[in-house]
Amino acid sequence: MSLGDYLRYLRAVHGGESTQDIATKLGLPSPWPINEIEQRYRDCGDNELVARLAEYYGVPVEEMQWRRRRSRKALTAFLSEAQDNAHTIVLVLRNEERLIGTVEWFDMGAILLKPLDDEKRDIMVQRHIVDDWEMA
Amino acid sequence: MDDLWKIRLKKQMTVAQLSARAGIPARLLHEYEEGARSVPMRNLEAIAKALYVDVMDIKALSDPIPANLTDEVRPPRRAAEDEPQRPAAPPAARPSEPRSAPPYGGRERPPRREPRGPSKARESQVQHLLSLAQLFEWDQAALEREMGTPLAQLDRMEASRWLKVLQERIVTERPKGAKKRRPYLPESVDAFELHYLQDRQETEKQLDFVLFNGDKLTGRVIGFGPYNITVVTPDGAEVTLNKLAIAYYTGEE
Repeated sequence: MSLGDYLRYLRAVHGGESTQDIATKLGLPSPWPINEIEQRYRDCGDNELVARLAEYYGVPVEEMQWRRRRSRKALTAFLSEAQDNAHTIVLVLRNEERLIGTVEWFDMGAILLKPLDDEKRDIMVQRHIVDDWEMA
Repeated sequence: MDDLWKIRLKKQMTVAQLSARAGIPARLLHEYEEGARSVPMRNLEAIAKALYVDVMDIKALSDPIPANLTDEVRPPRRAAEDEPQRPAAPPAARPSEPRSAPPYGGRERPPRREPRGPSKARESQVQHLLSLAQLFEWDQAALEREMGTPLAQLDRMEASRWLKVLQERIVTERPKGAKKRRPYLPESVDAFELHYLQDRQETEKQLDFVLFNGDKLTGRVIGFGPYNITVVTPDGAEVTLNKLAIAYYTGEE
């Protein structure tokens, strides 16, 4: 899960307050920097803001930085390479389940995996559940 | 519909300002305002845009400015105001003078410049050529052999032509170094999953859902949208699942 997706998730479990509310509480003049991190597919935002958001949500800043390196763009590049070269990949889900297979296709919201152990089945993985990824 | 000069005065704009905004020489604007010539449609559009009025509001051929208003409408011209980019014209070159006035203010016509030879290729063009050559695994010497000209002697036109040639060859020959690019499409479409669901709905195949919280559900797709999927479970219940609640789902081919 990218930092943007994670921040949206944290905002939802904290009662769904607006980014404007959070910006006001953090003393930011505008919610724009938070919106940018939440909405952009690439890695963005500065370390200070990420640290302040980590403190606000009560989560370790290291986790925020770890997710920052796993942007949606990074996942797309990984999937694109795996699909082009027919590599077997491992997707680590947020519930710690590991799915292994080859990439049939992927789009903005989902990834279609062909599992190694059952070629007749498809696994449609929602991108927002993917925490980490690696080549098998 | 009104005279150009009236509208300009209403907008409290000088001829110089209108000239700068519309991109029309001030001298020409004076002629339009004096009714010496009508405004062609192309210039009329530019003037209307600059004055924030409709084209239909301006007369193509203005009535001449009344003599008693001339000074008010058209203050004594200052060359620096009307045509700041030009040096002040000598008295003989004023537009009010008859057209028979000698050109160049009576001075001798300046000699024509000799046409310059082709310019040397830009550094950015050279760098671009070298980067494209890398895709063919050519070094500079190989690139120069291919072009038949040393890079240092290449002119801009030739560099531009070779850039085009190499780019076309990359598309047709697909050299080893040219990586196929497709990073943006999957970021901007969500049609793949929708097609998949459409197929599952038409073939009435069961899907097994695993939800974010670990719950499991089996059902047949009866409808879907960008954010949710509606299924009928084996016991006949209709359930709409928010995609955010779904971790993944599986189905047979």
